[in-house]
This record gives sequence, structure tokens and C-alpha cells, in this order.
Amino acid sequence: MSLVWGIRSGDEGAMATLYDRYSSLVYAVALRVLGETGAAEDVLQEVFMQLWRNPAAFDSGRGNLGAWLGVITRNRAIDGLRKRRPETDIADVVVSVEPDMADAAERSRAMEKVRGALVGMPEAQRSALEMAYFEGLTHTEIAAKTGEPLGTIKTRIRAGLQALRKVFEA
Amino acid sequence: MSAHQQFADDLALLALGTLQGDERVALEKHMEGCPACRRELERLRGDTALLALSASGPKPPQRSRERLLKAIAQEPRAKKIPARRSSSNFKPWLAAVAFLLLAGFFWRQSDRLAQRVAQLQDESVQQQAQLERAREVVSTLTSTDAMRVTLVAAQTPPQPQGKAIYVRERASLIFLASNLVSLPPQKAYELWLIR
Repeated sequence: MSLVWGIRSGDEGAMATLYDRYSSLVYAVALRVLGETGAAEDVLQEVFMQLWRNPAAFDSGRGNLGAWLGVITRNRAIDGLRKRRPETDIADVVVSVEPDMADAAERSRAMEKVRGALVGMPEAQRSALEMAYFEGLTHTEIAAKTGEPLGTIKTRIRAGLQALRKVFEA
Repeated sequence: MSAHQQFADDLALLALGTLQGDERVALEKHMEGCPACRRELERLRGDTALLALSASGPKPPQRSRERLLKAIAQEPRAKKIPARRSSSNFKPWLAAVAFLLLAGFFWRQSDRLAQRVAQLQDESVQQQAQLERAREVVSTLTSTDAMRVTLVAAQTPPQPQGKAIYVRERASLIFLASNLVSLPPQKAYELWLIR
């Protein structure tokens, strides 16, 4: 976690290294949610600036930086998409995942696993999960959009997340 | 259906941040007393975070990197925190020893202070008694009801008498007089003090 300590001590070089490592992930998530490059660039800027201004918000003892940046980016992009004020304080985001996102090779393998898991899901399940994650839709909104019962949507989302977990437990 | 099963689907929605209204309130209330559901929520948040890895696309343009680095260079940092080697350097026994030393130091300080307070209280009582005696003397000397008797040899007619008690350092003077002859109007006795 020396990069985070570097940022805490105001080291601009550490911030540049961290940007080079995670900017593709952050930009991809923002672009997928917002569908527009200018808006995605703004979210990219905002996420890294937040880390620069408040590096203590990320607690390295309680999670992994790559996953944390992914969650922060997704939340900010959804807030932008839904034109609402940020609802989550970044210091409240705690997320721990198995793969070491700092390692490019491991991150790449994890990406393949996630994409493989999504491709392997029934279309309706994958679609419900992606609408909830990348569009920030509630189960009620997804049900209204697809014409499916509320309970079915809920179950599909949960089953989709369980399928994803299984891929990493195998 | 157990409580956990009833809330299982909602936990996934909460992890995604899309559970709203009464359902969210009910789940959060249940979780207050259910460690199993809290643990499951943490795991589901991890599963949810993995979904970010499914996003793919072009790399961000070079201008984004330049924009960020320029903004960082211009952004004043409120406080630069010196880098620490590792939080594992913290040694609980060292903190315990420091605590005991401090406790001993404060205990000794407190003991000394208690002794000093007792000494000051004694001094205060003595000074109060002296002050009372002084007040009594002054009160007797200055009281209008006081009987003033001068003892002289028998058959000696009363003699005019004046007594001045003067303390130069304090600029304090007490004058006692008796049997002074009454003066005609526009005349007065004078007492001169020449320093």
C-alpha cells in the first residue's frame, strides 16, 4: 500500500502511478454507465481528485483499492445518470474482494472470469443484474421495464450474484 | 421460511444500492440483530464490486491524465501527512508502559498537591485568627461606647493628655486624647507629623 501512503504524503508521482494502474478500469465503468465520453472523463477526474483530496477515506485495512475505486466510480456515475446528488460518502464504502486488483495479470484473469460468468448466465438473469448495476435501476423499475413480476426480478439478481461468487470460489 | 431466507433477495438489492423505502427500512432493522445477514451483505458487496471488471472499452484519452496531474499540482494540500513505514510498528506493550509511567507521575504530582493544599489551609486558619484579634483591638479602641479610664496617683487633678501611635512604614496613626480643655470657636488642636 505504499502508493496510498505516497498520496497521503502529497506525492504527485504516486498519484500518477496509481492513475496509470486504475484509470482504464475507472473510465470503463464510467463510460459503461454514462455512455458518453465527456461525462465519463469528468467522473474519472472526480474520482481521482477525491482520492487526492481525501486519501484517508480509503482504509487499506478493510479492502482493496481497485475494487474500492470501481465501487466509487459506479456510484458517482449512477448519481450523474440519475441527476441526483451523491448519496454515499466515499469513506463509508468498504469492499473486499478476492483477486488482487493491483496486479495487472491477476486483474486481467479476474476480468475474464467475470465476463465468462456473465456470458454463462441465462439472458434474463444477466440482463437484470446489469440493469441494476450499470443503470442503477431498482427491482421495481426493472419489473416495469421488462414486464416481469417483482419477485422474479429480485431472485434473478440474487442468483446472478451467487453465480459470480461461485466462479471465484471454484 | 426463515428470516434469513425472507431477506436473502433484499440483501442482494441492498448490496447493489437499489433497495428503497419500507423494504430497506425493514431489512436494516433486521440486520441490527442479525450478524449472519451483516456478513452476507459484506460478501454480496464484494460480489457486486466484481461486476466493475465486466466493463470494457477504450483507454481514457491522454488529455485526462494531463488534466488530472495539472489539477493535482494546483490543488493545495491542507496537510501533508508524513509517510509511515507501517501501522504494524505500533507496539501495545509500549503504550501500556507509557500509560503506567504517566499514571505514576500524575499520582505523585497529585500527592504533592494535596500536601501543599493542607499546608495552605493551616496558614489560612492562623491568619484568620490573627486578623480576628487585630479587629478586636481596633474595635475596642475605636468604639464610641468604650469607657476610657486613666489611672493616676491619688489627688492628682485630671491632666490633659494625648497619645499618638504612629507606624511610619504603614503610614498608620492612632491618636487618643483625654481631658483636653475646650477651645474657643475658630480654634482647633493640630497634630503635626513631620517625616
